[in-house]
Amino acid sequence: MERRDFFQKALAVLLALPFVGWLRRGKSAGGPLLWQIDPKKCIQCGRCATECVLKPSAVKCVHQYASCGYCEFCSGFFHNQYRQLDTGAENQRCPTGALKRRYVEGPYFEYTIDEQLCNGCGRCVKGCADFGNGSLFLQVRRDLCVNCNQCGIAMACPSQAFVRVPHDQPYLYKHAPKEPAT
Amino acid sequence: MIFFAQMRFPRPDFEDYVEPAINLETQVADDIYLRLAVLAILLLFTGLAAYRWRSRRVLLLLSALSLLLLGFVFSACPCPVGMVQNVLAGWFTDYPLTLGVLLLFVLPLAVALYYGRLFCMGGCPLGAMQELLHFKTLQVPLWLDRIGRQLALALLLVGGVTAASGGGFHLCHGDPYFVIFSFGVSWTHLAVAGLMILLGVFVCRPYCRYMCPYGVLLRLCALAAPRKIAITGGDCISCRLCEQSCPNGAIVAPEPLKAAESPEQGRRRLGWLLALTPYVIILCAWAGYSLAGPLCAVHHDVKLLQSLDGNLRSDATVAFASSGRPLSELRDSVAQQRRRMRIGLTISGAIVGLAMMLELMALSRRRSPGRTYEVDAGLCVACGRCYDVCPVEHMTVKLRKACPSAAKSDA
Repeated sequence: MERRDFFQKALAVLLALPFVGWLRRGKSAGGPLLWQIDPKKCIQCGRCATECVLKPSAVKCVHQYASCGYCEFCSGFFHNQYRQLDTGAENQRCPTGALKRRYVEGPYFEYTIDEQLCNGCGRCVKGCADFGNGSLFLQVRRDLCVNCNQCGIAMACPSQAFVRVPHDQPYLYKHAPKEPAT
Repeated sequence: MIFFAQMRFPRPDFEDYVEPAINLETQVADDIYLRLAVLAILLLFTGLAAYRWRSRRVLLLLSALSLLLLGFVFSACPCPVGMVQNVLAGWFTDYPLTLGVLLLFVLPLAVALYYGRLFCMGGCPLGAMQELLHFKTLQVPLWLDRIGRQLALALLLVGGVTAASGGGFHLCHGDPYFVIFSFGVSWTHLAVAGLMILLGVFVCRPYCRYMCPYGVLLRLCALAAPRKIAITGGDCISCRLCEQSCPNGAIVAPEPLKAAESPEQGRRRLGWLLALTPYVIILCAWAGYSLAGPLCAVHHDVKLLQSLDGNLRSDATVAFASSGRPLSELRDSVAQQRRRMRIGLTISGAIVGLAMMLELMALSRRRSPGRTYEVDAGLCVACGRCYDVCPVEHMTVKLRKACPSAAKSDA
């Protein structure tokens, strides 16, 4: 029994080692960390819609109205081979019709996202980023994400845009840009 | 194209328009301490059910509770099974290890260090899934079982080395049941889960015995525990009825008076095993070394460098070109990851080889004659099946129920 006792004490010491390591490194913000997309790194490859273990994906598009140009020809709404500037499905980038277009005033239109329809494919994001102001971007929704220990999309993301964020910063917004000097 | 909020079109001056507010749900249940509390309570009751009440019915109930609560009510991640990756990543990379995660890793191991593998029965939703859906036991021959358990050790080491070298936590998607707990709808993953469940109907706890990386650590801790499950509540009379009752192969029979083979045969077999050991270790170390190359590809940087060197164009190479990250830094990072994987996996291979041979040699160990039926503490998951089979248990239970004071003086 002496041997087993020694073995037990040795293992108990080993089990205490991780705590020592944790104390030395310093504590990080309490609570598990959450997955989020860094919009600075995202290249809109489309994997957010296909690699999530949930179907439909926990990633959805967000529209930051503060940086939107409210353009009649929205490059996030319309693709480049559009027939007409209307809401016909053949003119839209969005495969599910989640991006809605509404006339406001003058030559300006408001574009909003229907969350129920958005699947996180990022086509509108790409169009807006390529030819527009980049006010559309993808984010992981906290009410949908199940917080896997290893995110399936994070493994597949070509630009390593998936980062872990603490509880008090669940979203990574794009900053409101400065007006260009004219 | 990576670019960042370049205002090509100025924001209009509206006369009569209020832009909508962005209302994103921010509430995330920070429930890791609640989850720890639930786990601790479940483990406490499992200990009581296994040692004091000795009731398989209560153990099954606790198993079902752990499946319901820790598998479905609380989100399945993080779970202790994959935590070894988090701890290793916390040590070797810049992954921030939180106290809750650390406690989740240590709590079942600490309990195992004193009371055995109670977690497997009463705290693990994966174990519960297999326990509750096992119906027709196919006994696995001992030698095959011991070799199969090395697969779990190999998975632990490979997963640990990958996590420690910054390659991510790949044990998580290697668990066949994860798709059920995350409510995913991937048909391939569901098929794999279905096959594992089907296998579990006939082979008891296939994941627990042959694939669970945490089970290797639990086994180690349980072997050192001062308390272990007793098959019988009274004195063992060596009636042999429990021999076939354990579907996990955890019951150790006393050595028969007449041995199945002569000492000569036994010694010769042991001699062969000893002679083979260095070759097996070298072979397994070499296997680890060769696997290091292909397995490195799980690292994003390694795959990226391969594409760049091969002049292949992919989303990753496009992203890299626009990211402004210097190629020399990428090469250094990849070289370091490759080195870590190679060293780690070679050593892991040697460990697996050594462990396998030690296990096979341990099967030949002589036990002193006349010992009673006992459990192998490292393998017993406290399922309680043997309680139902033991006649002394029934007598003791009946006595205890009929005449509490008499039962006390009997034992």
